[in-house]
Amino acid sequence: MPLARRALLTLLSGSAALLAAPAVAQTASPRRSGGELTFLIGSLDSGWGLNEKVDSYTGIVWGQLADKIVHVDDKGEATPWIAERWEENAGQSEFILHLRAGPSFADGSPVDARAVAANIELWARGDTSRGVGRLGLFPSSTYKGSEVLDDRRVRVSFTRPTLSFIPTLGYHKTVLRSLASLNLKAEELGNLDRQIGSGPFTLQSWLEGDHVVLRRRPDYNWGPQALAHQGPASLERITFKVVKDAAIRAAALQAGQAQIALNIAPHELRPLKARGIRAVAPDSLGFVSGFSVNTRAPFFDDVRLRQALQHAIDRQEILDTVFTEDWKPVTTLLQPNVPEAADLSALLAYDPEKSNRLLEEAGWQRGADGIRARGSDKLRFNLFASPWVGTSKQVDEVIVQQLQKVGIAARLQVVDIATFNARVRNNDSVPLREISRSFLDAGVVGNVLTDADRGDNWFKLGQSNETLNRLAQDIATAVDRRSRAETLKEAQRYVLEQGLFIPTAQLNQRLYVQAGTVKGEAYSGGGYALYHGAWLDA
Amino acid sequence: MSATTFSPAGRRGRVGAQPLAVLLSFAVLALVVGWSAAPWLFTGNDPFFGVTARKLLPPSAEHWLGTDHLGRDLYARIVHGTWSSVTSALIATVIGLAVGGLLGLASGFLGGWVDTVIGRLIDMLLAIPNFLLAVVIVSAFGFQTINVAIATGVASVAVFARLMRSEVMKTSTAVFVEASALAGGRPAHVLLRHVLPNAYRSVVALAVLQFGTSILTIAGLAFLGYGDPPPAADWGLLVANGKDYPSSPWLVFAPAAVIVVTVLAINRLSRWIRHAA
Amino acid sequence: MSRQSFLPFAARRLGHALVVILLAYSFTFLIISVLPGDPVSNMLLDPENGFTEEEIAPIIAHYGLDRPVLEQWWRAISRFALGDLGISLRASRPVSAMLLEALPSTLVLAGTAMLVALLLALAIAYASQSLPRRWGQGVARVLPALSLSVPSFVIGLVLIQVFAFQLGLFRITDPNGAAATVFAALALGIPVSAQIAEVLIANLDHEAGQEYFAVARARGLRLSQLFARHQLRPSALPVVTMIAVSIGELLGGSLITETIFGRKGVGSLVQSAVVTQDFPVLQSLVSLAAVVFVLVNLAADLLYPLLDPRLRRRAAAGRPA
Repeated sequence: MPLARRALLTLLSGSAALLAAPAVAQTASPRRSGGELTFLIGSLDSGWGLNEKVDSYTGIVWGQLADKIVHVDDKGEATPWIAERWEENAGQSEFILHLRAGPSFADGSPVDARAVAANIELWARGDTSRGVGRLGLFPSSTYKGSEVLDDRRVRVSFTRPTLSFIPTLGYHKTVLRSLASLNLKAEELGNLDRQIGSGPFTLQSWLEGDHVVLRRRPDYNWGPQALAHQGPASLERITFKVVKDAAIRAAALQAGQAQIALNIAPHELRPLKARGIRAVAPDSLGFVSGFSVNTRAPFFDDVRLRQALQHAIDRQEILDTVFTEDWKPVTTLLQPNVPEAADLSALLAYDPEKSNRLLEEAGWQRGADGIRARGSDKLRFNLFASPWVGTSKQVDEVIVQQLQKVGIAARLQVVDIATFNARVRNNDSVPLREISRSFLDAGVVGNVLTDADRGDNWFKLGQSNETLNRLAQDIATAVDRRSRAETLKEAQRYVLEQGLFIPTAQLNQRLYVQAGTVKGEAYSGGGYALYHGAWLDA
Repeated sequence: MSATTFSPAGRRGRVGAQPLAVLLSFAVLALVVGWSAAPWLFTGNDPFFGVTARKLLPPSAEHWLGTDHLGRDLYARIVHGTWSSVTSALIATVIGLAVGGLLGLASGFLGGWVDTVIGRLIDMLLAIPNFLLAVVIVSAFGFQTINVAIATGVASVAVFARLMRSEVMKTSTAVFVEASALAGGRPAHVLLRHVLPNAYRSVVALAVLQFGTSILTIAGLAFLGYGDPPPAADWGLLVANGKDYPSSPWLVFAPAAVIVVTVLAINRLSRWIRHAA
Repeated sequence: MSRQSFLPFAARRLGHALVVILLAYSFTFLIISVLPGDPVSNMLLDPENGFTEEEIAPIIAHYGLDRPVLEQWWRAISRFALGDLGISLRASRPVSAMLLEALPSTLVLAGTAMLVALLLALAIAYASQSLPRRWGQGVARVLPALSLSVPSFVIGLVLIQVFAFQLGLFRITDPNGAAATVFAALALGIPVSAQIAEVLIANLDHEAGQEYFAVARARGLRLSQLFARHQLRPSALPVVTMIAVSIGELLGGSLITETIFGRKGVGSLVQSAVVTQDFPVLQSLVSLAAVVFVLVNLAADLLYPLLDPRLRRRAAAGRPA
């Protein structure tokens, strides 16, 4: 395909249609087998142990090395992978997984019911004796147990309705590993040589925190049913190389020393695109970027102040300043592709007049320095940028300026993870806590509203708000998706109206910036790449 | 011949010494002092509040050094960042010079068990790479300019001490010093008249370098993500933040050039002062 | 130096070395214990996971991170004294294996950088004495200050931009190749060379002002002979000190250089250990640096008397050098 046309295609497809872009290209150029892909990544520091050791970087490597029980697409829909089908009881508390025949781990052991049950058991409970915690997103609180019915059937039981179980199986951390890998001693868990998956690629070589080289597995024939490509992978080899500095990743990509770089600062995308390099921002399921408001923080028990904040933020300016056209405007607190997401843009309109009015009503008068005050109290607070989101600092810088315009003095603090945990978690003097949370099932929303059932209690209202109590209860006990979706929409509206959550921008934690020659890759609902079907155009 | 009246580089140092260079250095220093004392006299732009629609503009008549990612005037940010850049580097240098110098002096001059104890402490500090020490101190006590300055200073204590000790030992074994001691000079007298004046040459050279190094260490810490939070405009921070915008190279080169020119000027002046004395 | 005075001297130095290493280990432990948080909660308290503090308490207890600081220190240092470096909390692998992986690359880098630094410093110092006075010497004298005033990561970024990406002399995906190593060593060595050059020039000037120098000069010795015989030798003492001191600089600087050049080594290991508060790794690395340091300084102290005859008498008289 001529370069100009490819560039044009890239331009036309934009981000929304990028998933479809490879399909378009497919007709133009035939699949090519072989070739090596170099993927630059910012970190592989979390190691290769179990459960929470799979983070948003190593998760991409695991996606090629290991399979999952189901594949979850960008709408949260689960489709067969290692499980060719599943049954659930009417109460959504018992599931029987029917496994596909044939898959084997790279060490030769079968991917059978015993292995799958052992994996699920470890996700749900962890193993404290080896220092392995349970998997955070797994519905452990209602988990009863897994039972091997025969070689290819596993029964998983819960004490209560658990709609989120099946989607969770497509999570980037629920990767299937061989029994031998699960049972390694504590000091061997991080040894990637001994962490065996059943994926389309196997390990060729690696160096701790530096690189991982994968080679295709010739007998692989059990990829996700939803993907176009079946059989062994097309790429011969994939090299994941750690390059910590984003500007260097960008330059290396531009110089043709790599085909894909993960997470390049949005403002550097334009010059790259001019050279035929595409930015792929796969839709990922979860909450948008934004702040949960701590109602126990000084002054923030006042709904007028919270609403003033909601309308003082110009979300378009954030998009224009920090991001590119690859980011879509937010319409609610859920990512746009979440099926339950409502369009509540009106509640998020930029309206400084209204903010000023609300603040005046609440008794906050502008002082000589432009900062509002009420009596001896000044309207000022610390705003902590999230150490987990790369663009958080830039977004918060813009927000600080915007708040300044309506007389609110927010002081930006940039700290590391340890300090953030120490100073922001459980600190009721910090009013805004930045949220970056993905999920595969929107049921998680019910779990953050109150502190019932070990809920996250984002707004620090405990169970004092009747509306939130009812919404949380209804979401948790729902047994069918459609009625739950209605409740979820009501919850979004209420939370935004009350100014309890202040969305800022679409959350885009995985931005794949790649050469135009990369074709045929796919993405899971969490935005994790699958290079099983990928190939390199000659 | 007494070493105090002997100024070795004096004759040779004047080789490259253009009065012009000294005058220029004075001008640079005056400008830096002016920037830190009264920044508003030098720029009318707001260093902390930008017009986002005018972001990442290259240098122009309106914005001499261009604008940053929030549309803030870079020149204004450099001018307003002077005070904190200069003071933090000074604090770091003074800590290193004072603490390290005294330790090295005591160690080298007194010898014996004092030398042993101080020697172990210094060895321990030296054994922990400076930069790592600074990183750990800053993450323990918070990312503020003052902490960064203290961390940088503490990290340089050992280098000063070590150099001072070796200089003191070198001069105190010199013939004229030993002669003075034999002639019945009191230790304090020997120290003040002979050892210090001779040792100061290398130590002052290091102190001047340390001033520049401190600005750079702060920049290095910022590069690794341990910087003062925005909207701080320390020179080192400006350089470190600027490198994230490779397609707007002025964001790196303008503040880096300011650092280079300032450090060079101070260096030149210190040499001039030493030789004039 | 006589044999009788040398042996006890060396033995005493070795004793000191052990003390320094244990001190460095404990000092790091102390500072880290001031840091907020611990590696396990840092990892688990990611908002993605939605864990509560109560839930992760047993995991923290498993690693003994809930014990009093003094008890943790005692357990760690007694293990360390027996040669057990422990298990990385981040990577779930033995620390010793991780150190062995990282060490060779850093040794090569630091060695090359030191070589580069010495060559550059000597060249600059020679230029400062031999070039035409008006401009040449001025430039040579300004160079060290100039290269010391550029942030080292800027040097690294410029080198990598020009030589890797514009000229294609090396690939970022193969940072341990010969060309890549030389450029990384240049980035790391330039600031070190500047420091050595500064001290060297100051001392060369001093020697050039001495009377014997003028005498030698009057005898008609050529400049290069003067430089080597009369200026360089007496200046060697402070230079050896600077080199010994620079070892720490090289190890510290490798933090940034390895990050920029994408090299796996001690520096990048330190960086990730600090970020994730991986105490066992960090402490082992600090002790390793201490071992290297002590060895280099031992060598330097033993060299002093050889380089400066005046110190030889003093050492023979029984005072520690």
